[in-house]
Amino acid sequence: MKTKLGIRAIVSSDWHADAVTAGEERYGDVANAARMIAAYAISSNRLASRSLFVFAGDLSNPDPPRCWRASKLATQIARLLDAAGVPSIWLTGNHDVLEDGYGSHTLMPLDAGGVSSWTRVVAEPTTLHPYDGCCVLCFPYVPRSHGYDPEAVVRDWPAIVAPPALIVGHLMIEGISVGSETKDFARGRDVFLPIDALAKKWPGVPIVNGHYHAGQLYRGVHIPGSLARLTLGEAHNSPRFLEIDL
Amino acid sequence: MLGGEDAAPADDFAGIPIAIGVRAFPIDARPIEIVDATTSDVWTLTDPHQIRWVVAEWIPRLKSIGAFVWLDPPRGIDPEVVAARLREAGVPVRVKPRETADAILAEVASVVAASADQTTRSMREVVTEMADEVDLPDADTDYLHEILDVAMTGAGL
Repeated sequence: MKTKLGIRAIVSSDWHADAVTAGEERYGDVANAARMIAAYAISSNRLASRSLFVFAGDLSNPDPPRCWRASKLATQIARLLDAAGVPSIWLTGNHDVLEDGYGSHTLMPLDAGGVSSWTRVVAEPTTLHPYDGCCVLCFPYVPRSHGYDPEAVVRDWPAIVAPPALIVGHLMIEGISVGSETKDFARGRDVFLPIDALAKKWPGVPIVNGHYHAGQLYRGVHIPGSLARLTLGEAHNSPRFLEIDL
Repeated sequence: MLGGEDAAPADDFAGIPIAIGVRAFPIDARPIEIVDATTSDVWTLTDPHQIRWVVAEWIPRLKSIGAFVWLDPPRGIDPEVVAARLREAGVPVRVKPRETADAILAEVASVVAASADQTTRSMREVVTEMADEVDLPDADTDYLHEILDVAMTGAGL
């Protein structure tokens, strides 16, 4: 199907590739699901309908030894996508950051610095242009050491700049029912996505946000949810990924 | 590399429309099964052989769907026989005795707070009595005493 820009964003989040459920490591389940999503993004990438792969945060905690395997998974997938000509955007989530004062996080191994590929790692508020005419506004998790004000990003958006085609975040959402991401996976601090300001400034622009493990649509924000049921509190979740026409 | 105009995605991998221009693609994820007092009669059994026999009936289904099992037994029931049988069969299991203990502790706290004779009766005695009433396993009773001690110390009692 031809969309306005002829682009589809393939969005997933909250892989938690280091997770352990009932004593069993979940890397295999998460890796299979992530590779399946990447395969879809590659196989559906056509001239009239290009794919854009978006990861909305929380690859892994930075402290368990299992985080290296998670980083390897993300790196492998980013390289696969890049080799197939599919741009990929990777936001840091509250679980990815290491509060060491240097801005370290689990997605660092992917970051080629934009030199040789179209893999972009986003650890601060950023606008990206993976395709001509396609601007993606990113709100990664706000670490203590490298804080920013999401409201100010919206407020200070230059009037001469075209509006974004997609808004991606890994922030909290005011009023949403909290789930396992708050009870079993609590980490970091609460900084909220400025939903009202975004909707007022750019009505109709799709907004997608990670962090929450139950996939849902809340106050106009699409939440992909996690790729697997990771805790008892997620027994009733229906893991999925999203495809958004841009 | 582009798939080309003729390289359409497989028909059996279609998204479900959830909003205008947005589709969700379900992921075939492993289930989490909660085995509690309301979903299983295994907790009424006392003979370990009977328990093993009943649990053995669950195992093929649990393994075939790759389930993770949470055992949430009624108060006073030791779930370890069930858990051991499932673990032997390679089914990932998590036992929740602590939640049972936590529930009792919350009840104890509310009873004591509402009790007029709380100054003459130690909370430790209340815990022991209630644990005895429901035949709570010793490990759980000890756990209750541990967290009670911590709570009382923290409260300056």
